Amino acid sequence: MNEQALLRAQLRHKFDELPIHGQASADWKTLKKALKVALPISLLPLALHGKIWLTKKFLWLYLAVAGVGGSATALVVYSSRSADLAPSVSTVKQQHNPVHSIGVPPVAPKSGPKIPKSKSIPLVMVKDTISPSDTVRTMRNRKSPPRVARDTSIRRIRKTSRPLRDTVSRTIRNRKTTPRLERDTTISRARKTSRPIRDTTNMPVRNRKSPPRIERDTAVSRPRKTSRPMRDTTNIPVRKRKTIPRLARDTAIRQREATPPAGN
Amino acid sequence: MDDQKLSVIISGCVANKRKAQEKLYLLFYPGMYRLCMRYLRSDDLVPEALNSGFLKAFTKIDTYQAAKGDFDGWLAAIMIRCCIDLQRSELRFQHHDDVAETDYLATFLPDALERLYAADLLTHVRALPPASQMVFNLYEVDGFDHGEIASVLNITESTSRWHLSSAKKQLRNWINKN
Repeated sequence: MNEQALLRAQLRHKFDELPIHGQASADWKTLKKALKVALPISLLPLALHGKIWLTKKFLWLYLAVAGVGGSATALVVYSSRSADLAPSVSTVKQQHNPVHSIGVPPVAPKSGPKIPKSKSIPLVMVKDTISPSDTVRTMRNRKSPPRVARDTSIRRIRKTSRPLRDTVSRTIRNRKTTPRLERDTTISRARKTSRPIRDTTNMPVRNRKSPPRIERDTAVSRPRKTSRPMRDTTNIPVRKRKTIPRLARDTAIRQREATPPAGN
Repeated sequence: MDDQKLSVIISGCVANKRKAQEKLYLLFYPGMYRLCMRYLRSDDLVPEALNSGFLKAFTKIDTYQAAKGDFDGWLAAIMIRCCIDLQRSELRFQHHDDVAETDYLATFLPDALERLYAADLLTHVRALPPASQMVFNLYEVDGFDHGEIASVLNITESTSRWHLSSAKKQLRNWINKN
């Protein structure tokens, strides 16, 4: 067994001489990404128990992250610190604290009374420390109505069919078509089958190309298709007369001219 | 490394501090890398097995108890299991029953081992069949007994003895030839 233990030690020593081809830093980066998923780091303990001083900047961050409950606590702490520190400037210790941000110069005391711990301050005092601009800012930031009050029924309806938009209350400039509700759909349906009769009686004379359709005598037009009407040529002057008026023509003469006299 | 410093680092790892985890990783990286090289058949699989092992170690580090053993041995056991899991598909055991411990000869002569380069030794070990390579590493290098090997690899002790004997014969033949 001693020989076996000795051989084992020799083998391990020999294998320890093997060269490493991998890079530790690169492999660590790969493992770090996997650790972010498998073992994520929680920031909440740092925020609650860490040594983060509540400056004006961090106060707003805390408001955004922690919510109303935390922000109220933060406001109480901030106001108590500013109330405690403001009257006793000379006794303030030089350290990284919000005193710098509010314009009070830090003074390193050699001796002096200890700064008392902040006590709970009534809400009235807390409100005094809130500037009016803060409340206005919060109101201005509200862009949409609270989620709870939103009526989702309209949104659901839109998925199936578009709701009838109320255009009556719109200004006249924006109205392009007549309100949908007032539109008479009977006319539109009628147009599909036949064209409506246009009333041209009131049109100016220049634009009138043809007599009003209603007044047109269709009886005249129909005979033209079958035969030409007889023209009255009696009043035509003699020069233009090329032939004897048809009406005055004596058919007896024609017959006489046509048949030769007997005996010749 | 000093035990006190190591315990501080381990405490930081238990608290899930990235700096402490990085220190521990860089500290044990060379040893675990070589361990994975012995158990795996190619260097391409080593980073994967290494990071899998370290991830498991960081996840289960709160279960480590200093009174039960060294941290090195605890981490090595995790790495070995990762390597076995990675190679499990290639392991083909030849099951034998009632194989006694007959091969009492040492695998290498002390002089032969001294003359060998580490890379050549690794090449010879990797040339063994996967199952024999695994059993050889577990028994001869890491000090597992056949009962522990049988439970880890889910084989019988006889099969473990047979594969060890086979690995020793082959290695002796190769090294004595050279």
